[in-house]
Amino acid sequence: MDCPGRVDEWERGLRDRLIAGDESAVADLYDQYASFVFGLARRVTGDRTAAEDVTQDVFIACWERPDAFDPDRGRLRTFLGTLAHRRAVDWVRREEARRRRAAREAALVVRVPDVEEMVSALATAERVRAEVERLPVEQAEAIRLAYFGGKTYRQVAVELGIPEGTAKSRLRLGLRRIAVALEGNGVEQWT
Amino acid sequence: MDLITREEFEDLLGAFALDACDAEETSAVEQYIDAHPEVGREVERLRAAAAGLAASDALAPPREVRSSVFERARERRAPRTQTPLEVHAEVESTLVALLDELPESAHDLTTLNGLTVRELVAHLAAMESLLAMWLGVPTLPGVDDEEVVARTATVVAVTQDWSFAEVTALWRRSMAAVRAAAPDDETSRWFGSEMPTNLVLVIRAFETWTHTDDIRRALGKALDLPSAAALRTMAEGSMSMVPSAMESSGLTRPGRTARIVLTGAGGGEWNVAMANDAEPGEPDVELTLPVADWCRRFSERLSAEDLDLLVSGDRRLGDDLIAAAPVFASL
Repeated sequence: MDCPGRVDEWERGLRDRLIAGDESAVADLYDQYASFVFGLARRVTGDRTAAEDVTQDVFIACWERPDAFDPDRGRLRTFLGTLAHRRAVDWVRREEARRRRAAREAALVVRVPDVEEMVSALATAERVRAEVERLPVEQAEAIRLAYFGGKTYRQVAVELGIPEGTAKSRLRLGLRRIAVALEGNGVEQWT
Repeated sequence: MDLITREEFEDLLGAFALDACDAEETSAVEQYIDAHPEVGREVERLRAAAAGLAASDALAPPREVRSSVFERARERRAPRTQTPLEVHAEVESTLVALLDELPESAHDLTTLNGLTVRELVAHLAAMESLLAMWLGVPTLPGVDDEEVVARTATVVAVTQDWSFAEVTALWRRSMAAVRAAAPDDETSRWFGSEMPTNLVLVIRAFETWTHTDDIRRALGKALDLPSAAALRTMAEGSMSMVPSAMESSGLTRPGRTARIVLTGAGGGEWNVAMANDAEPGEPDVELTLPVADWCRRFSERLSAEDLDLLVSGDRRLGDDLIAAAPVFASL
């Protein structure tokens, strides 16, 4: 699907079929995007079972509320990525809260995400690697902690020992640079 | 009234696109986006960039996730189907539209099973009037044959001097009588057995659609499909007949289960037991094929070799199922 017009038409048609209650549209949606959604959820949660739950929730949400996707506002892939990431981050934050409680109770040390592993996995993203590598290190680090670590910008600020305002601007500037670079490569048309 | 200023929105946007705001800020940003559609494009750009970060992490989920999605999705929102009465009415309208445009010269064209178009309509009238008779609303008094070939021959003979329009009218009267009577009877006679009336209506719809295609084929026209909602109901009905199909073909496989994945508009996924009175278990075989191919196989309008079929798992069980499927072959 490298022709934007046809992709757009396919996404609109799929949404119409979901709204009409055509169950086979769920199959088409799932077959096209399950690996993207599951991979994203697995990466963020670091937990296979949680990623399976997130994957199920994302596709069921599309079936229950297909009109939440507006083809005039953006691409289906972005919509699904946003849904999946939010749910994955919710899981991470709930899990962290649970671990903190457990740690308080059992005086255990909370396990922090493996920074080196994350940096290395991020670098494997063929199409974004170059752009991420070109980012100033402090911006890339802030984005990594927020997106893959599921941290709020306040937590990013604490972790990096910087003011909250600086954390926000690093996230904003870094993400904008990636957006500009990806658009330059025509990557916004991914499906 | 915005909960945040434009500057605050700009400031939070990167964090928002990365889901790195707290709940209160997230809802303030969302409210701002709703109130200011002009910022939508920028939000979308940043979200697309965020989604791009995970692009190379794609990883196929375990197989069972797919079936869980379908099971849970159906619990939350039922797929759109037509009622059997609606399907019965839809296939009638489609055939009526086709017959209306037929030139007189086409009435004598020979169709797939050897009957002319006119005789095929008489055959449909024969079958529909038989069901009307079983439902207690006869439309062709004096014709009591209950066997397919004999009844068809009788109706062809009885209507020999009728106009094409009169034969068509008899068929349509019978369709209407069946639909009027069907809601009153939960079960109906059906060739020596008693079946749910809704299933009988779906079987009738299958036959009507199949013969519509036969006529289109005789005319050299492209084949046609019922609406997605009608196909879905027909596919659903066909699934309930699979165990009997296995049984009557001598291919019954107690304790075995097939997962049947029908693709295309009106498709769906089903786990089906390979013997009567059994509950489906974990699938031993999975068959994936277009819903139209599946339905056409049921009426033996497609040979096993011509199906666009993918089989994984117990191949022999899959072959047996496909061999047993044409339960409507006599239509």
